[in-house]
This record gives sequence, C-alpha cells and structure tokens, in this order.
Amino acid sequence: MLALALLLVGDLELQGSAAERLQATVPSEDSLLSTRDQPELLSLSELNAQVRGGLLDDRLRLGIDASAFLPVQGGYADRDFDTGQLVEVDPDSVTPPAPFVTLSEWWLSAEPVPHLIVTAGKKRTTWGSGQMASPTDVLNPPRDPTDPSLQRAGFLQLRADAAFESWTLSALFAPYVLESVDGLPAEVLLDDDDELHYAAALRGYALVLDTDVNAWVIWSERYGDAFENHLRYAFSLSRTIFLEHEVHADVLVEQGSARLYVDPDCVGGTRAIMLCALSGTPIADDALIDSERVLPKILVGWRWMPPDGSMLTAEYLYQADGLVKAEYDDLKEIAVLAGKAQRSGTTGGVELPGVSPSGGDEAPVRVAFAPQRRNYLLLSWLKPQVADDFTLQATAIVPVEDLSMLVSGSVAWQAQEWLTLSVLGFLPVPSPAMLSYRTDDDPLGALYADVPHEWRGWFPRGATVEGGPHGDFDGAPFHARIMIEARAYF
Amino acid sequence: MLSLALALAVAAEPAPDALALVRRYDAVMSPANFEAQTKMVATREDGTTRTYKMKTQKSGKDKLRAQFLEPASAKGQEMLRNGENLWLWMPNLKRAVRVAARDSFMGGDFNNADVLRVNYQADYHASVDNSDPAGDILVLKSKTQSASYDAIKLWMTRDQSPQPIKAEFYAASGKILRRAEFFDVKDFGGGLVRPSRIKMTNEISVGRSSEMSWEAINLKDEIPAQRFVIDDLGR
Repeated sequence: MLALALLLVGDLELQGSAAERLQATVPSEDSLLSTRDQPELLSLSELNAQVRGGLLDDRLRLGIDASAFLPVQGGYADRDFDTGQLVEVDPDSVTPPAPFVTLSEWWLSAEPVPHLIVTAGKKRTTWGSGQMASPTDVLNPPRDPTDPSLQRAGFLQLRADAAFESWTLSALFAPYVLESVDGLPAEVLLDDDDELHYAAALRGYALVLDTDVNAWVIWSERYGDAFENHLRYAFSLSRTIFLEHEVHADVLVEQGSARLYVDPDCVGGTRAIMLCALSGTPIADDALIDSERVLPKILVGWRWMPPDGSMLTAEYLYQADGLVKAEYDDLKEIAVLAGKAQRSGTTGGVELPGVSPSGGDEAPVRVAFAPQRRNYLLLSWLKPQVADDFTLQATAIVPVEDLSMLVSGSVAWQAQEWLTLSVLGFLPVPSPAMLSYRTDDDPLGALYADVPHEWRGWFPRGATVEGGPHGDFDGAPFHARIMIEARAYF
Repeated sequence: MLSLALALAVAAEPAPDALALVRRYDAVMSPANFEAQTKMVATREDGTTRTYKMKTQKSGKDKLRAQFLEPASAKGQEMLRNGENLWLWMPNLKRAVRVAARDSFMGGDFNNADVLRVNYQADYHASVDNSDPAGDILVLKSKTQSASYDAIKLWMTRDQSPQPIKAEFYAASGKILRRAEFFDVKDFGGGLVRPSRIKMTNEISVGRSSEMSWEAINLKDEIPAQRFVIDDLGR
C-alpha cells in the first residue's frame, strides 16, 4: 500500500518476484543436537517487492526491499535417546512456523550539496571485498556463503558519504535494533536497562593504481555482542590482475573477542556440568571480551573470470580467536550433553554453531555460517549460459582443521526472461578422520597416534567425541537436503 | 639498426589519416558526455531471443555507467567502468564486484569492453588500408593488455563525415572472433550523426548474434563525477 502511494507521487519503479521453494531434508542420527524441530518437508512461499527511484524531482532517492513469507512444514524425526535410531516425532509437539514479513531495506537518500550523499534507514552496506565470507562485515546480518548472489538484508543507519572521482569518505552511525515487529524496528538503541547499543564508523575509500582500497574504523557499544567502547580496525583491497583474475583481502584487527568459550571446569561429564550449574558458573562465556590480545581475522581470496563467463572463487579465512582443538573438544562435549538433555526432554532448543536454518529475524537463508574454528577454505564455482539458459553453481566450505565439508550445488534454468527454476542440493561430507575411524583398522587414527603431541595441531582431525574424531560438519543435523525453487520476476 | 629504429618509429606513429579516422570513430561511437537509452537483442543458436534495455551515462573518455531496465530478472543491475576497472552491481547482492573486460556482456555476443570501453585511440595502433573501393579499412593492433581484441579491421565510409560500415575482430592467433555490421545512420541531435544499430555476429558459436540499438543519445556538457563512483551504484 505504501509502495503504491509512493509510486503515485514519485518517479519510482516497482520490481520484485514471487517464489515457491520446496525443500526435503534427510535428518541425521549423527546430529549432536536434537533434530526434532527440523522439518523433513518444507514449503516456503515468498512475495518480494522492491521499490526504487526518486521523489520530489529526484531530490530524494528511495529504496524499499520487502518480502512476505508463508512457511508450511511437516514431518519430523529425531534420534531415540535409548536406541540411537531415528524415530518419528509427534508433529503436534512441534510449534508450526507462522507467516512473517521482513523488510530487508528501507531507506531515503539525498544529495544536499554536490558530492555529499546522506542516507538514512535500513540499508546493506558492504565495504569489505570477501565474496563468500567477510570478517570485516560486522554490521550486516550474517551472509550465506552457499548463496553469494542473494544477500539482501541491511542494517539501520545514518550515513554520509563524500564521494569524489576516485575516493570517498564515509561516516556512519548505526543504532542497534533490539527487537523488530513485522520487519519494523520496535526497540532501538536503548534497552530496558537504559544501556546504549550502537556502532559508529569512519571509512576512506580510494581507487589507487586500479586497486579498490578501503580502510575504516568501527566504534561499537554492545552492538550485537558484549563489547563496550570497542574499537575495530578494518582494511580491504580488491584488484584485477592479468585481465581475468581478481585478488582480494579483508582484514579485521581488534583486541579481545566476543566469542563464547566453554569453561574447561564445566566439562568432563554430567557431574562437572551440575557443579557449574549449582555454583552459578556459566558453562560458556566470553572469556576474552576484556583481553588486550590483538586477535585479527584475515580473509584472502582469488577469483578467476575466464571469457566464457564462468567464475571460480577460492577464499581462505583465518580467525585468531577461533577454537583450537582442546577448546573445540570442550564445545563438542557440551553439545553432546545438550543433545542428550534435549532428547530426554530435560531441556528445549539449543543451536549447534556452524549449521542452522535461519539468520535471525531476517529473510531465511539456506545456511547460516558461524565459523568456530581458526582456518576455513571456501570454494565457489559458477558457470552461466550453459546451453544458453542454464547456470551451474557449486560451493564447498571446508574447515581446514578437520577437512569435513559442506558441499552445495545448484542448477538454475532461466525458462523465460521472467522465470527461473532451480534445483539445489546440500551435502555434509564427513571428515577423513571420522571415515577412517569407522573402518576396522582406522589408518588415520593410527597415524595420528604416532604424531608427536606438539605437532598434532597440524593434523586434520576434529574434536574427540565419545572416543572418535568429530569434524565441524560431522554433526550436521541432516544427511542431505534438496530444494526446488521457482521464482517469477515482475 | 638505424633502419629498424626507423621502422619501429613508423609503426608506433599512425599515419595522420589513420589517427583522424580512429578519432572520428571514437567521437561518433563514444562521444565524451552523454546519456542514452539502449536496447540489446541477443539471438541464440535455437533462434530464440533475449532482450535487454538499459540506460547508459558516459563522462569523459573512461567513465561509463549502465543501468538495466529490462528484463525483470536483470532489472536493477548496474555496470560501471572507471578507467581500466569494471564493476557489476547486483541488486540481490547489494554490492559491486569486479568483472573482466573480456567477459560476455549479459550473455550476448558483445563483451564488456565492447560496450563499456570504446576508446580505440587509447587501446590500438592504427594504420589505413585504402585498397578497398567500398571504404577505408582501419587496421587496428592492440597496444594495451586491456584491449578486448588483438586486432580489428574496421571499414569506414570514404567521405567528409566517415561512418563505420563493418568490422572484424581477431584473437592473437589470427582467428576471427566476431564480425560487426553498422546500420541506420541517424541524427541524434547536437551534431551527433552515427549508426543507431550494430549487429555483432559470433564467429565461434555459429548462429549466435546480438544487436545493439540506440533509441536516444543526449549529449551533455557534463555529468556529475559522483555518478561514476562505486558508492553511488544501487542508489
């Protein structure tokens, strides 16, 4: 209705799409956490509308990106607490999802004097150069690395850009949205305890020697994490070399980390957890929040763009605050105990970091990527115009410490200029150490036993769970997932 | 040694008429500052077509921005060129990514540089072959890595206001990659008279061709520089 009214008063254009996604999931009995809330069948209908254009003789620019979703789902299964086999879950015991609306963007922008652009509203702002992941992207909602072409949601901001021919200076203030209702912010900046939640940033961009160079500093106060008066320094660059190649880097430097680490005193069995619970000791806390250690996150990437239009991307992500093996062992042990508690009915929902179905109150993503370990390899390949109308895409997320993988592939058919039909598949691939462990002679296990202790950190082996190795994606909640999507554009 | 130096000097300096013809081509096909409405129809091997409509803005010799208006699946996409750099802004990604000059332009038979980077004077050494009675043949040989082709043969009318007639585009191997024909010379106003249609035939994939047509070209004194920066894309 608002969009229609705006169309009448301004030089605005409406575009959008209607989409239907059917998804089938094969739940995994190996999932550490309960899969009782994960539907085996899901239908997700989306109506998306995007309005863009000028108002008041183009003195104001406007952008809106809104979607309404209707999810319908059914069929649930979980590992039986006693037998370890998958069993049906009573659908009446699962809360069905309700229709919902998201506003990925809504913003107004003006140029009061030449070269000065002021923008207010919710908008996606990306200064980093990472394609599948970006450690410097701390303000936007998390991106989905298996879907690098669909990242729509932004964040609330007031921003000023002084944009010149080959350089730009930007200043940004972002109040944190504590609660949203129907896509609109309901509680912003100030919480119930009168504490402020915001971020502010100053950024410089320059096109230097045909290289995009961005440098910015972010000041944050409880902006989506526990950091107070926190400074982050970010730097990115991107450059095309040898005509067909692009190289990029994203670097975030900060002191301390908001990451949650499991308290080692709380692991070692149910008794240790009970003792922590009785003494009021948190099982996991942000132990490095006040640390003065500099803990950088670095992503380097390369993209090959041959003339056939295909694109191969390889990115390497290093996180200095990522979990080392001992910390990862602790996290997995807690996950095992949490899963047992869920399945015995003692406790409710717990999310296992790494794979989860949704990205908060924004539009649903296929995979929410929350990297826990220190080193990740991300690979993506895209080949458009196969037999003119087909696009092939494949991605792989590989935690280097255990070499388990999440592989996804898709075939999209541009059946008409206005219609795209897609088939997508997701497959967690077990780590080599876990596959080896399941054989009688376990050759990798024997090799690992011979590696000196000080070198074991370099051996690709996940956490030790119930005596066996367990990689990042070995505990994924599904064996496989397939989606069929039809999207009609207007 | 002296003769070799002289030969190199002669090769590096185009004959005056060659330079004038290249300047003429750049001036009519890619004037300094303009806004244009353009349509591209890509015909595929099975005879079906895809139609793209776009608005383009150009500033100076090396800044160009194209905004796609149709089809619905491409609406909102933008391409930007600044010097040697090309970016594609995707509405579903809400950011710009670098693209290669030799990539196909929207899957058609033009490449990105054909559309976004028409600056033959900067990219090619030129000489003229006057042997064809149909017109002067400009023989262009790439002098920069960013040139889209290793060589181009470009036929221009032999008159007071030369116009392009046809062109052949070659790879370093000498293989012909594409062939272009220029049609419908039209007065766009402001003294700009030039072909309003180019048909590019793909010589590698037989049966494929793309036709670019200019519905309007409005010459401008100046287009603000801030329209040609990454931060303005998607706005």
